[in-house]
Amino acid sequence: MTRYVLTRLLILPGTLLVVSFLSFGIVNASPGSVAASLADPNDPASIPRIEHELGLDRPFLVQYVDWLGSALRGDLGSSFINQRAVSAEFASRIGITLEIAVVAVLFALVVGVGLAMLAARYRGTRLDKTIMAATTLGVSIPSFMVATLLVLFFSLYVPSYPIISFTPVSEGLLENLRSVLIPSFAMSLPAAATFCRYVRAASEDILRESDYVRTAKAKGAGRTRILLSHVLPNAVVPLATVAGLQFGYLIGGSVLIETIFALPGVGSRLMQAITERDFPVVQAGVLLLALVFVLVTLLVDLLYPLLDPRIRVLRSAA
Amino acid sequence: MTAVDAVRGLRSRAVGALARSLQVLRSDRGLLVGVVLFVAIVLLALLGPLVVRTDPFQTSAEVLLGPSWDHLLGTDSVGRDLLARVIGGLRYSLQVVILATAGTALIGISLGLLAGYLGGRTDWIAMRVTDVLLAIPSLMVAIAAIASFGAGLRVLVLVLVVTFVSLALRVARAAAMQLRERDYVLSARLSKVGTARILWIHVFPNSRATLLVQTTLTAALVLLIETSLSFLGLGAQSPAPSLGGMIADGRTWMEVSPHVILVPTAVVIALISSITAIGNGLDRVLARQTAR
Repeated sequence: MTRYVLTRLLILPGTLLVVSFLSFGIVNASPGSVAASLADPNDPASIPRIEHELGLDRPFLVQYVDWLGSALRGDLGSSFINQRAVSAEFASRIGITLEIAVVAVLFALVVGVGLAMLAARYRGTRLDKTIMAATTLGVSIPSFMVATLLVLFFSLYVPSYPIISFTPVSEGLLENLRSVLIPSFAMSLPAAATFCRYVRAASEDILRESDYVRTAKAKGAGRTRILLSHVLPNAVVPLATVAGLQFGYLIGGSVLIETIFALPGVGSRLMQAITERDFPVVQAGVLLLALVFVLVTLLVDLLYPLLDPRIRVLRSAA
Repeated sequence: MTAVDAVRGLRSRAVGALARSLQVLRSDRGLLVGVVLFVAIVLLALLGPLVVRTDPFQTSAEVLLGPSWDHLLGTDSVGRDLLARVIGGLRYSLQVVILATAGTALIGISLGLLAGYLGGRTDWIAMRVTDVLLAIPSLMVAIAAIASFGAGLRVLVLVLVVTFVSLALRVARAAAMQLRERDYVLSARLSKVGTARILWIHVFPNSRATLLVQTTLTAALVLLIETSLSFLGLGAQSPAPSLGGMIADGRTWMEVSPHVILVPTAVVIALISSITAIGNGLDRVLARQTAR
């Protein structure tokens, strides 16, 4: 067990180093220079000077080590375009990105597990088949399409509903939650479908093979009772890993949803920075979202043994 | 054996394979629906340009028209024929998905089989590399890479391959590990058959079904990312038609004429869900066959 945790923790810095190198390297290898776009078009001679001021004329590795050193001290540089400190800008935005992802995962868990239980309760019937067919659709629709269709639907049929308007928490928690509800729903469908498939398959195995279900049946427990008190608790534990991974995907997908719903999160800022070739913002944004992704998957891996005592025993025995 | 016999033998084998495939198709409704839908979409992409002679780039004054005989799916905000653009977008998407999935499968499966078969240090290195690759959010890297290297088919395919190669590698590795200690593999190894040959003759054919399921599901994921990138303007570059790009362009006009986004949306959903349905169907058929 200790060894497992240690390996996981040791991989973490390596992963982050590679991610930081990638996000720095990819962005810096860019052929189009930001200096050229910042310079006065009538004065091409000023480009080298601007490059020098931004430190872009130094060797690549020097730039990387310098950037990494400052990043470790919490200084992610400042935007080429608006000169604001990147860390300050993202600090106020990361909350929104996390919020929509958390709401989306919770939503997906309720819908996904609920539908899976319904399908398992009526297994083999048309309802079961319909639900499982719907999950195929759920994982196949890109979230930006769901978002676009929702925007279309609301503007056509419920024009009074402010679908593209964000209310910060400072102006009321309920109002804030209301404004992230639709965006979270839009991005939650693939996660909900994944959870549903997962729990449905797990309950199938448990129903068919486990001794405790047989015992419960022998004692005369009904199908619903067996499902809710015996199958569900056992099917949900492995879901923690899946949920962590889905949370990570949602963080990655926040770029699309935040852009469509004009939410002031990390993703929409990142997208803006990409179009402006604002290197420090792009690098920091990619690194930040990757960091959240890595930390969440690590956390889930570490929490998993706590949720399922059987694994704890297995691992310490090994 | 004469040439005629050889041809006959080949033909009866082909007929046998076809009959088996039809039997598999009949046994699973989801798989059948997926295959039919997918074949229809591919035919539309392949034969479309022969039937629909309209130029997908040709703008006209007939903007935002609904479906009519001249424009079966209507026109967009600059008067381009939506059907012609859907066909163009489909061809682009299919090109990306074929190249990226083939690349992913080729690299991922060969390295994965090798890692799983050899085990030891090779396996350890492969696992740590995929640990890192899987920890990177794929859409982020794709966006960053395309933003700096510029949008183009080559960059897009490369990014997609790097993104999905770890998944293929892991599945192939697990399959090879299961087969490593089988008698036929051991006896081949004892007869000093080379590693590459063992993998090709004994390991790969026996894990083909699992790898096929994985590859199909990878294709669906590739499409999800490709359409998302095109939507963000990082895939095919306007005015070249792309399904994601059509939805992005249509957003401005969708309240006036919803069909400009509904048409490409329906096509994307049909395409991706047909592939997902094929993957899930193959998975079920495979599970039934092993259970038997």
